[in-house]
Amino acid sequence: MSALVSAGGRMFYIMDEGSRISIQLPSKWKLIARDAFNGSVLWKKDIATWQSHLWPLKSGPSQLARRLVCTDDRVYATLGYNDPLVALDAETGEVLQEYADSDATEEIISTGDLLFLVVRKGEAELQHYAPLFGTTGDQARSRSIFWNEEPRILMAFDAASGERLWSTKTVVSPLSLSAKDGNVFFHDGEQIVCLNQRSGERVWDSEPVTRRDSFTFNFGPRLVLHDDVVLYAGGDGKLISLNAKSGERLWDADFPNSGYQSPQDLMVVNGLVWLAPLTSGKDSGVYTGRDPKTGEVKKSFAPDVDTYWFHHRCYIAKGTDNFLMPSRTGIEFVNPDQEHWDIHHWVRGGCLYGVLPCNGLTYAPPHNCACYPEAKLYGFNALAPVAPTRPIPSEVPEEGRLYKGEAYGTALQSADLAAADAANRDDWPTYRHDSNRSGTTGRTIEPNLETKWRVNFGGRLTSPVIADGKVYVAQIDEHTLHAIDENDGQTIWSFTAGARIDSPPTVSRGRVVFGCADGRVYCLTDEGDLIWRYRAAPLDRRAMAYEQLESLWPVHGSVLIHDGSVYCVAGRSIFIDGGLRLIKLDLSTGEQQFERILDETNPETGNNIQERLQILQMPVGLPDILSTDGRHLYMKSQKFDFDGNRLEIGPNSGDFATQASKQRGEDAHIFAPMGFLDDTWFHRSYWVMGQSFAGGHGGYYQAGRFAPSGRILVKGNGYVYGYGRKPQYLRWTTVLEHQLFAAEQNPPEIPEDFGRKQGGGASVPSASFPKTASLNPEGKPITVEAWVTTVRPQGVVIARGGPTEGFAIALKGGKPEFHVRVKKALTTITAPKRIIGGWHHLVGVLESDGKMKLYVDGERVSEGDAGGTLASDPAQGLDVGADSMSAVGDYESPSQFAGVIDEVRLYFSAATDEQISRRYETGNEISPDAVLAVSFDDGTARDHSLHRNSGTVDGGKVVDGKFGKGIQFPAARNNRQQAAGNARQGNSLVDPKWAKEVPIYVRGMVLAGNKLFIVGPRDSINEEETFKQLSESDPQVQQLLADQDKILMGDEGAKLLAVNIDTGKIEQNLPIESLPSWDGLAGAGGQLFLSTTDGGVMCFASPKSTAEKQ
Amino acid sequence: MMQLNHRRSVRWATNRVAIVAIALIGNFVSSASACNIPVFRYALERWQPDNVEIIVFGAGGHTDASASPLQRLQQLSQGPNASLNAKIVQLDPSDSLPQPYAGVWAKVKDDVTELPYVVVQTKVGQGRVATHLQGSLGEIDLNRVIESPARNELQQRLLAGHSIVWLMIRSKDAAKNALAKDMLEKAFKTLESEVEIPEGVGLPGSELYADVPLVVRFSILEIDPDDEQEQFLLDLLTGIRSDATGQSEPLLVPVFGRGRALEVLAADQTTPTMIQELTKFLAGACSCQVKEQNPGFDLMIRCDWEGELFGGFENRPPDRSAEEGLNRQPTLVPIPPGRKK
Repeated sequence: MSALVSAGGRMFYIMDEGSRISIQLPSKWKLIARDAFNGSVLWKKDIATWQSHLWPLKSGPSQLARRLVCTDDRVYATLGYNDPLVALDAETGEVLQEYADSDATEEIISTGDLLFLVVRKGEAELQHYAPLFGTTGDQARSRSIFWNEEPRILMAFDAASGERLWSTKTVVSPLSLSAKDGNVFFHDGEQIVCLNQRSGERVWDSEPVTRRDSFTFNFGPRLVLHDDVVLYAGGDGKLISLNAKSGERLWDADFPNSGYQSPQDLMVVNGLVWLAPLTSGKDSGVYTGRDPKTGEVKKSFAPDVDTYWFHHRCYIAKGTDNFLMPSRTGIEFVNPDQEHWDIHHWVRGGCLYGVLPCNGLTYAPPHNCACYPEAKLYGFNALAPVAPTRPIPSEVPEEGRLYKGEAYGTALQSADLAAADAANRDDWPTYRHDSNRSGTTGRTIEPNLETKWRVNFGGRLTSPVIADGKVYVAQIDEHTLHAIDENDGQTIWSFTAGARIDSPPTVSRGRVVFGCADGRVYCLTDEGDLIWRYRAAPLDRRAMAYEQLESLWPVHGSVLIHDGSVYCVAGRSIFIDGGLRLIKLDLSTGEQQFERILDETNPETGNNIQERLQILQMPVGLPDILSTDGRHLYMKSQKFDFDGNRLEIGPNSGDFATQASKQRGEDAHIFAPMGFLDDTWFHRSYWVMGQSFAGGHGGYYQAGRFAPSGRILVKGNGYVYGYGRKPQYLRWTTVLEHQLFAAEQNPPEIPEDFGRKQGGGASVPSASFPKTASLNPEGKPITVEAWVTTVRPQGVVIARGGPTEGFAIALKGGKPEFHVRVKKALTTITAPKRIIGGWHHLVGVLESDGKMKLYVDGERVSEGDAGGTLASDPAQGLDVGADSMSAVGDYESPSQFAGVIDEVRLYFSAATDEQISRRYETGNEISPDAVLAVSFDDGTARDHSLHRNSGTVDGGKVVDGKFGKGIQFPAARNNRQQAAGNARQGNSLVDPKWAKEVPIYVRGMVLAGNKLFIVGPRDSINEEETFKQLSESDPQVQQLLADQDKILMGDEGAKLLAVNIDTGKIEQNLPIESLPSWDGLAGAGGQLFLSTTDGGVMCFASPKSTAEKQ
Repeated sequence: MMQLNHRRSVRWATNRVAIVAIALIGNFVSSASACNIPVFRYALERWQPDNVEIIVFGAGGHTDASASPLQRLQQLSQGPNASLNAKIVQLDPSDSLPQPYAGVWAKVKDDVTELPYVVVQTKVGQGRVATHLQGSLGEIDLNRVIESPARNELQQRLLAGHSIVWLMIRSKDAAKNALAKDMLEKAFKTLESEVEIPEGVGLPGSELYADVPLVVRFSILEIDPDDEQEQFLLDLLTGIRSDATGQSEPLLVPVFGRGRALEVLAADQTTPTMIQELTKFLAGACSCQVKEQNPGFDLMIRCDWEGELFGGFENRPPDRSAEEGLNRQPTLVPIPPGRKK
C-alpha cells in the first residue's frame, strides 16, 4: 500500500492487488475507495503504471504516501507513475479535472482551496529501476540509491478551477513541503524556505539548517508547522525550531532516532512536541514533551510495560488528540496524560504506510510481516474500542442459543453402522476426508479419468464433501448449502443459512452439520431439514466483514465431529470481542456440553496473555478448522484435550529455530499456521506436518527445515505428500520454485549440532568482498586465481557479477570452469579433467581482446573467446566459496563450494603462461599489482594488496591451507540428498523419498491408493529465468509474466494429474476448463470431485468406475 | 602400481619380501564404475573400526571405585553414537563360560589373584587376536585404556585430513630414530608430489560425504616407549613386533582411516620402496570396499567419528555395500608387504 487517506466518511488508498503467488507477476495498482465505517468498496480505479512492485521492502519510497489527498468530496491523486495530478469525485471516482503540466507529481499538499505540488516533470526518479538480486532482494542495494536532489517544479493551483497560480523551479526535499496560514514551507536541501501561497513570492529563507548527508528513498526530513513555529528535523539527530513568520531560529534540541527504515517521527499532540528514541528494541522509549515555542521539556515518561520491543515497524508513528501511537512491536497506544503504554503486539500497520487513526477508528492496513503468524491479525482491519454501552458478556445464558428445527428428534444413526457404511461406500464425509484432515481416500481411484458430469452454481464454492451418494458443497457468499446427486450432479436439496458458509459441512450418522458466519452451528438431516441450530456467538451482534454482515464471532463451516459431539470455534481472535469460544455440542440434541473462552487472559496467571510472548513468538490467537488425531484436538499448532483445555500453550522458545524445531513425535499433525482456507499463498506461510511454527523474519521458514511442509499436504500410505517450495527457497526470495514430494510422516530427528555449526540460517558459508572502485573490472583484462581442494563436484570458487556482466571460476561435474559474461552473453571454458581431492591451482585469464584461458596446476587446459572485456562494473560484489547473489555462470546461485580455498588473487592484467607456470611451481606471485590478495592466514578475508579490499568470512573454518592457512567451506550435511544430486536440500532436514517438479501450481490434492491426484493451473515460467530477464529489463519477460498471470486467473483452465506415489511419475494429464477452488479436490467411491473458482462442481471417473456404478 | 589380472593378491613380509597370496573372497567392482575413492579416505568415511574386546571376569563383585571407569567404558561404547570402539564383556568365571571366553579364562586363570580381572584383546588381522593387557580391575587404569595423548592426536590429524599418520615408536638408539625419521620425511616429500588422487572421485558411487579435505598429506607421530600414558598402545604394537623391539629398532606403524594400522614395521626392515608401495596402495582407488578383506587392524580410539565427519550417526553415508559391485568381475591389485602369517 502506497497511501491511505480518509475524509467525509470514505477512505481511499492506493494498493497493488496483483497476484501473491509470485512477486514477479505483474502488479495491479489501484486507487480504491471504501466506506470508512463498514469497509464496503465504493469504486476502484486502475493505475496502469506505478512504482515498481519489485522495489524492495523497507526501502520506501516514502514520497508515495504524499501522492494521495482527499477532502470531503474530492480525491487528488496521480493515476500513473508519471501522470499529472487529477481530481476525482470522491463518491463516484469520476475524473473531474486534470492539473496542467503536473506530470510526474511527487507530492501533493491541499489547503482546501489551493493545491501545492512537487512536480518532477517527465518521469519519476525510480522509473527505470530493475531488481538485481534474486535471493533476498535489493534492500542493501537500495540503501545506496539516493534522492537525486535535482530541482523540481513547485506548482500552486486553484483546486476548484484548476488554474495554475504560480510555479517555481527549486529543490524541495522529500516530505518537507507544508502549508499553513497563507504560506508554504519546505526544505530546499540547505535551508527552510517560506513562500506566499497565493503569489509564490519568497517570504523568508532561514539560515542553513543541518541535515543528513543524503536521503535514501525510505527517508526524508520532517517539517511540521504548529501555531507560529516551524519544526524541522533533517535526520542528523538535530531538531530545529524556527519562527514561522520570520524564519528566525527559536531553539534546537537533540532529535532521537525513531521509525525504522522509514522517516522519523515529529509530532505535536495537545500543544507539545513529542519525541522518543524508538528505533531499536534497546531504546528507552522515553517520551519527552517540549514546548514548541521554547523547547522546554514539560513532560517526560518511560514505558510502563515490561515486554519485548522489536525494532520499530518500518513506518512512521501516528498520533491523535489523546494518544501517541508508535509501533515498536505492534501498535502501542501511549497516553501522555496518564503516562501509560497499552500494547497490542497482535496487530500492526502496513509496510511503508503504517496505521491510520481516523473517524474514531484505528485502520490497520494489510501487512506482510511474519511475526506472530498464528496470532496477528491479517487483512485490512478497522478496530474500535469496546463500547461501554455494549459490553460482551463472559457468561452467556443458554436460553435462546439452541433452536430446535422441524426435524428435531430425528434419531441418530448407530455410530458403528454409520461408520461401516461410510467406509463401505468410501465416503469423504468432512473437510479433507477425515478429522485428521488427511486428504486421503479410503480406497483407490482408477486413473484414466474423464469428466463424468459438471454443474454450475456460480460464485465462490467450498470444497466438496461426499457421503451416502450425495455431494455437499456451499455457495459461500450466497450462504447456501447444496446437496447434489453424486451420479449426475442434480441438486437434491438446498439450505440457506444466515451468513457465509466458508467451508463444507461434516456429515456424520445421517446428519449434516456446519458452522456459519452468522455465529451459529446448523444441524440438518441428510434430507436438508433443520434438526437444530445453536448460536455459538455470545450475542447476535453483526459487523461488516468482507462486505457482508457477519457475526462478530463467525464459525467455520467445517466443524469437527468426534465421538458423538460437535466441536467448533466462534470468533475472530483471542484479542478482540471477548476472544474465541471453543464449544462442544451434543450431535444428537444440539445441547452445549462445554464452552471454553480463549481470550487475552493467560489461563495460567490471569494476566494478559501477551506476557507469554517470547521475542517474535506468541501463543496461537487466531481460529481455524479443528482437527483431531483421536488423542487431542488441534487448532493450528495449539493442542487441546477433549475437555477444551489448552495444552502446552506456546511459544516453545523465543529462538527462531528452537521454536520451529518442535515437530517430531506423535502430536505431529497437518496444520496451516495462517489457516487451512487461506488460498493466497502469502510468501511467508505454508502448511506443516508437525507441531509448531515460528514467527519473525528469521522464523517463518524454519518449520520447513524441521518438518515436511508445503502449500498443500496430504498424508497416507505411511508418508506425507506435498507441494511446496524447494528447500533452497524456504527462506523467501524474489525467486520461488516449487516441487512435489513424498516424505516420512514423522518429522526427522534433529542432529545435535544441526544449524549451529553453520550459523543456523539458510545462507551458505562464503567469503564476500564489497564492490569498490578498485575492484571495477569494466574494460580491463582479468587474471583470477586460487588454490583449492574440494570434496564435492559442484561449487563456485570465485565469482564477481551476475546475469549481465561478470566472471567466475567454478566446478561442474568435478571439472573447473571459467565463466565470463559480457553484455549478458555467457562464455564458459572447461578443463578436461576432474579435480576432486588434492590441492589444485586454478587460474582464469581474460585478455584485453576477450580471449579466455583456463589454467589448472600451471598448465593451460582450455581456451575461449568472450568477445571482449566486461562492459560495465557488475552490481554484485565478489564472493569466494559461493556465488551468493545472482549467478554469473549456468549454475544455480549460490552454488556452494565444499572444500578449502587458499591464496585468492585478482589482477586487472592478463598473466602469461610462464607467469602462471612459475606461480604453480615456485609459489612466486604472478605480479605485485593485485587488486585483491587474500591468504586467509589469520582466518580473515584481509586483503594484502595495496587496495585493501578486505572482505568478511561467513561460516568458514580456518584450516591448514596450501600455504599457511586456508578457509574451509563446509558442505551442508544431508548425505542421502546430496548423493541424489540435490545438494541444496541441505537447508532442510526433511529427506524426501522423492521430489519432482510438476508442470502446474498445485491447488488441490488427493491421495488415493498409489495415486496422488493433483490439480491446478499451468506453471509456465521458470522464475530463475524470468528474474534474470527482469534484472536485465528484458521487455519480453513482461509478456511471459502476463501470460502466467492470465493462466492463474483461469485463462486456460487447469490440469488434473495422476502421479505415481512410488516414483513421482505423472501417469495421467487431464485438461479441465476451469480453475480449481483452493483445496477443492475430493475423492470418494472411486471418483474425484472438484469445485471450481467459476462456481462449478465437477465429477471425474474412469470409464470402468462409471460402468460399475451403472 | 600395476594392476594384475583381475585377481587381488596380498603380500606379507617380515625381514624379506615374502609373497603370501591371500585370495580375497568376494566380488569387486570393475573399473567402469569402480570406487575411485582412495583407500585411506574410504576407510575414514565408511569403515567401522573393529571393537577392542574388554573382558571382565567376575565383574559382579567389583567395588564402587573400580566400577566408575568401567561404567564410563560402557557408556562410551554403547549405542549408535558410541565414541569408543570397545566391547565390554562381563562374565562370571564361576558360571559355565561360552567360547571363546572359556579358552581365555583357561589361559589367564592361573594369573588371577583378585577379581574382577580384565583381559583386553584386539583383532590384529587375518583372524588373529592379540591379548595385550590383563590384570585385576583395581590395578588397571581404565582411563588410560580409553584414551591417551597419542591416540587423541592421531584422531585429530586423521580428521584434519592427514592421509596416513606414521606412528614411530622410538627405540633407545637416537641415531636409529633419526635415520628412520629421515627416511620417512624424504619419502613423504616425494610422495606428496607423486601421488595423485584418482580422477573419478565424486562420480556416482565415489561420492565424498565428509568435509574433511581430501589431500595427500603424511605426518609422523613419535611415541616414547617409556611413556606410561601410552602403555596400552605400546603393549599392543610392540607385542606384535616383539622381534624388532628386542633388537632396539624403532617401529613404524602407518595408520589411516579411523585409526586403522596397516602393519607394524621394524625401521631397519622398511625401505623407501616399501613406503612408496604401501602409500600408493592406501592412496589408490579403493577397489575392495570391504574392510575385512583389506589388511590392517583397528586401534582403540575415543572418537564419535560419525558426528565429527557427518554431523551425526543418522547422517552417515548410505550403506550400498549390499548392492554395489554385484555381478561384476573381481579386480586384482597388489598389496604391499607385511607380516608373515
